[in-house]
Amino acid sequence: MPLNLSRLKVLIAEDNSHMRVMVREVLIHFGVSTIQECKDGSDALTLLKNWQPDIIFMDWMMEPMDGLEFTRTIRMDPTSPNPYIPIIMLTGHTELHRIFEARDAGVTEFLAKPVTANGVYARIKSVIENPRPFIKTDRYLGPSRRRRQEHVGAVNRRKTPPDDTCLAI
Amino acid sequence: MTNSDKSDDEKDAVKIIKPPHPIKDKVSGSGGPTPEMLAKAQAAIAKMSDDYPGWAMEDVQKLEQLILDAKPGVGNGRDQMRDAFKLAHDMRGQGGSFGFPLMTRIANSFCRFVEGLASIDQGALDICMAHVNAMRAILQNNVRGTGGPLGAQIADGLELAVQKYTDKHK
Repeated sequence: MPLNLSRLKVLIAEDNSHMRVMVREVLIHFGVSTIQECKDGSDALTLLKNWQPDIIFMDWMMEPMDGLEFTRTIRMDPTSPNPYIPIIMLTGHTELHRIFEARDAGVTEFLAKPVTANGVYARIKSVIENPRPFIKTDRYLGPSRRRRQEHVGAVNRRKTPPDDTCLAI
Repeated sequence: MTNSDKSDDEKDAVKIIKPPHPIKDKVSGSGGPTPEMLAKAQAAIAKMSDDYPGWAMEDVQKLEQLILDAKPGVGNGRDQMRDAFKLAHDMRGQGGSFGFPLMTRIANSFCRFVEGLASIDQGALDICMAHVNAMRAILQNNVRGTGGPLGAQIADGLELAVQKYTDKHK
């Protein structure tokens, strides 16, 4: 049985109106009925003062506030309405250093453009079925950047930094 | 003790939080989309792709103007090339999303080229313009998909030009 998403509330923040409509249409066909849209991160922050979505689809490159700055703000700002909200980053960036940058800002999932219906569904499913614990340090609040958990008591033989590249792409 | 007095370990003290997960209560089911759902979603995207050449052409014209405005010398076209990168970056994501992956490939080649440019000269601007001309041809001829052997030849040629220029200016 497919996911019944009819009670989900989704925010789409994307500066290109055509991409925005495309994501909205896909979500509607997957059963999401409550969708709001905005053009950049600052619009999204304004909207979130009075409305709480369950998931945010957020483009990376937007002005004046891009998706990374929005994510850092929502995760770290003391006035954030919900620092734990799942954020799915839409982007044409596919270079590894960009993925790390998004991960380090606190993005939950990474959906590389070109966007496909399957990709949208898969990211929503992952957010729902595979929630990750959050890590809080002085400099970071966001989903654990390790997807695979080491079992308790495991000997850490790693000599290099952990491979955190398993964000869904 | 102020934050600056803390050791690096203390600064990096890690707290693991299990956040609330209210979505789980709102959603039932667990499988993938039904073929019907998927087909309808894909049909909605396909329908939108009919309009893509029209609005994407406006972006190609903007890109062309930015390159025409970029001049070697004072300012070295830095502002124009930065804006051109942003525009081409968006086009890179949109092309494939709307059924024009050849646009994505050429926009990607453009982005990689511009991103690596330390300064511009006429040769660099010519390569940029060749990308723009290829994009325009794709849209005018409604070249969907990868464009077949001709599409590959055009994209290969642009990527080779980028490679040669980059190698020469290392």
